[in-house]
Amino acid sequence: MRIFKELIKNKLAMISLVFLSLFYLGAVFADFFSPYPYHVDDIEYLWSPPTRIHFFDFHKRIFFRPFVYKYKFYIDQYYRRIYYEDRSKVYPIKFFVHGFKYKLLGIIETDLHLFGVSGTKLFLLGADSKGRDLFSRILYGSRVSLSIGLIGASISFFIGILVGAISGYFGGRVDNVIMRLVEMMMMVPAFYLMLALRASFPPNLSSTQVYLLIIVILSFIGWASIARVIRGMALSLRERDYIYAAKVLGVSDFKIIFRHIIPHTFSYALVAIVLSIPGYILGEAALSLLGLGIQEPQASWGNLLSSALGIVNIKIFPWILTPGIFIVVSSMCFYILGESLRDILDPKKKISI
Amino acid sequence: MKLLQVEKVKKYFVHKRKVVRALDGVDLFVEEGQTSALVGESGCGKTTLAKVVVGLYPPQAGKIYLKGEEITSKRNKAFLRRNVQMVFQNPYLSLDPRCTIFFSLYEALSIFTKIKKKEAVPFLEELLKSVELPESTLWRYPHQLSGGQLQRVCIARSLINNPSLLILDEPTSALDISTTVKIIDLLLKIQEEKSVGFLFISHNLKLVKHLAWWVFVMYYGKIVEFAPKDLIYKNPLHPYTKLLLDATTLKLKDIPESTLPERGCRFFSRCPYKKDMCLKEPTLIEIENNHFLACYLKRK
Repeated sequence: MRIFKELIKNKLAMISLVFLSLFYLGAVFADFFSPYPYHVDDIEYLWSPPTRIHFFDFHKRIFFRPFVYKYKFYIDQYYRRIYYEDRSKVYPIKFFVHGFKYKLLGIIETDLHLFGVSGTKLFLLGADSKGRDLFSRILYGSRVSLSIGLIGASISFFIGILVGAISGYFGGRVDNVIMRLVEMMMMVPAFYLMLALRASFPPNLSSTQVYLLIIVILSFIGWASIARVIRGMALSLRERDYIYAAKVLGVSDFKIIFRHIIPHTFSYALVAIVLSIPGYILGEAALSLLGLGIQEPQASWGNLLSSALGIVNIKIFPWILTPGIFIVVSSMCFYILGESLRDILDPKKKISI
Repeated sequence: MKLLQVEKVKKYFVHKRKVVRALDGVDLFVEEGQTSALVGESGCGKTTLAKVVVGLYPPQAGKIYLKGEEITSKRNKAFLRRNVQMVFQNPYLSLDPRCTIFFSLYEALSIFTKIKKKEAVPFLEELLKSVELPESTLWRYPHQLSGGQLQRVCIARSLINNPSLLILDEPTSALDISTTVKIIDLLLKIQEEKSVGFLFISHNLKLVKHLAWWVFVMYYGKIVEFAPKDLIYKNPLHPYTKLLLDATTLKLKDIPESTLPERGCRFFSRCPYKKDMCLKEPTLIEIENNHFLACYLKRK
């Protein structure tokens, strides 16, 4: 509770918290917010630029609801599609419209969407090479990218804390064996380890399998460094008098670890978890960018960026970089949040309550 | 039969490639329902001995018997836990700051008796009353209590499974004088009611006067003198005991040396009466009735 109170005081942390909640809301209600399904392509709108939203038409008449024009294209002398607005007809943007069917939260079947246009297409952030709406794809992609961060970090922390606490508490030979193992894990550069692990599995897996695989790979890489730090904390914690007292009373080692060692590492772990989440988001993005992660037509922020690999594409269709902005902003929010949590949980600052 | 019998216990630590002889053949005993006091300046191995007796450190050599049963082996671990408990030096550190007093006590209680949390409440309230604490203490966290209150909780916790021996490792050194007196009174009351044997460890010979039957004086891993209380206070024989009794006048100016003489009497470098024969280490010998001494001073 105290943590939350102090978080509210910290403006930067609050801003990042708001951003993150928006992102996660977007991920949970992706079907509701997105006007189109992530996989429906449209040959009429290949590489369509972001649709301009108007309030005045070109006779300077005001409309009381935003509207768009239909986009048409001609082929120029380089055989490129040049899109232009066909201003003969106005298509107002409607809110709470009926569109494609989906299951809200996986339970309630509905076809309600936040906004939509009938008669033409609305691309808030443009379209990709197959004419799919980038905005919808980013929303759907955030489900993968943001959940991998949370789940991956939780799993590797679960393993790391458990292994670290056992290693530090028992010390001696157990500690030696576990720590040599951890060092072996840490010696291999993370990115190569990630690629090698991915390469050791068949390439033609279903998207769910790939999703789980990425989580496993990222957690497998992440736990070692956490185990090392927690082990150090456990080493100093086990010399505390209350641990000795529990031992003398006859409390079993298992209970001592879970009741008296691990809870004392939580404040560190909370900060470290938050700070490590961007690593998982970036890890997934890196794998998907190289085509080893989430496969088309499934979307993730990483594989959305893969269409922006060529410099020519970026120059002509700059809007395909927007998933990158989402990655940067969400990572930055996690970092800021983690740093402020660290400041709040710093035991030296506790005196000022 | 003695309640606790410690025989020639040795415990060496290796520190920076030097061997520290924390315990170098210590003999000690506690009679049933009585108090033995172990006295010595800080760093002389008192706490190490306590930790060896409760089984936190395995001894390198020597044997420890409780009611005639050897407790150094792993076989008797449950017997040891049940019968020997310890109160630590610093009450602020010996309770988990994240647990309520109730949980700390319940944890201790649930080791040997299967009891549900709700059912344990009246028992624990009664227990707190017996150490003169209000029932509401049960739901406090350690940081909400004072040092004296915390030490009472620790004493209550150590008594929860009715041990026959309680090791008190300087239980009052972190407390002020008036609290110290109250805690000592409480301990005396508990001993009278439950006839628990105490091994009271202290650096203060004067404090020990109030509750000890036997007093053991320790100097750097060895017992140098032991006798019933009256003999020690009326007729201290070892120069170190004399020094301790005069400690208030601050005659202990010279700092204890970390490097002890390789051979001979351990007190050699600080002893005002040292002789050539002291280079051969003296053994504990009964000088007069029940008065044991490891010094050549009183020998013929």
